[in-house]
Amino acid sequence: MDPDEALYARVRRGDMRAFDELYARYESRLYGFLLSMLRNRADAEDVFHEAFMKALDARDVELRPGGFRAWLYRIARNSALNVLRGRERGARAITSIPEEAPRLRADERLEGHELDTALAGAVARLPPRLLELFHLRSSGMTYEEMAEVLETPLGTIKSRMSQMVTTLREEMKPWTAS
Amino acid sequence: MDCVVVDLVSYHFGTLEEGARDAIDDHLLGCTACLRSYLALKRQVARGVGGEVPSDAVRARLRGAVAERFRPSTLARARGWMSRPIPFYQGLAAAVLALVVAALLPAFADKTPPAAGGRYVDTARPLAESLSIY
Repeated sequence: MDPDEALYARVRRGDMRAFDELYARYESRLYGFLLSMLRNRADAEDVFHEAFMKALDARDVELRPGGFRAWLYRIARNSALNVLRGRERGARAITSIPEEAPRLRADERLEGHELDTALAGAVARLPPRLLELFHLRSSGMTYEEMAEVLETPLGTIKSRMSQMVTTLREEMKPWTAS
Repeated sequence: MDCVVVDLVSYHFGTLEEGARDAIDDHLLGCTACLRSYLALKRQVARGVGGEVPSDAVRARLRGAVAERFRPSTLARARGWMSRPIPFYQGLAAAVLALVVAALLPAFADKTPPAAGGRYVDTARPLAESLSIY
């Protein structure tokens, strides 16, 4: 499998098969990340388009091996923050407590498709800063990459990861404990 | 290790200490229920919560924009085509075809109907008459 950076270079030479492959790698995760930030499909789609084009169109970019993903996410996140600011509620949205999602019954042991609902509910209840981390970590990023995307010190990332996991673990207890 | 204390979420997100992680590794090897739960969790997270993707229209619009922006120039495409090496078998096939054509040309030239005083003479007719076709 070609690394992202190789696909990126091929797309810039007009190779549309490379574009299709790169798109397939990011369509679900990057879009999920943007949707979690913006909570609006149309805005998430616009930012998704804009971020991809900005990344592909950038001049004189020298990507280190494995650097494309963090770079794309950082562009996408900055674009999403601009949209939030444009809505004049960016600052409040990023620190506000998200809408309450339905909780699981404590005695409920989940199987199969119920897991999807349980996990989605638990994730929806994460505070925005932890939600960002959830999406970045789920896309396979290292702590260093997450620090780069969020432009935050590594120590803070580690501390937030711990908070995120503790919160999710509590929410998912009925499912992860027999 | 008891299933109750198996911390699959921390395990998945890699926030456990090495010892705790090793203990869960061992537990998962022997507990089918926890292993199934862990694999389901991993699958769901990998798929992205909700598994939503942009609409097909977004993909088409982006693909069109990228194609438009990065389409190689005609000159670059021609240069690429010219610099492409011709495979050996294609060259061989072309050479054989040229030889066959060169060998057959004289044979076709011999069968050109003779002209007599500018009038066309059907040389096949006497043979046809001898066979009582006419």
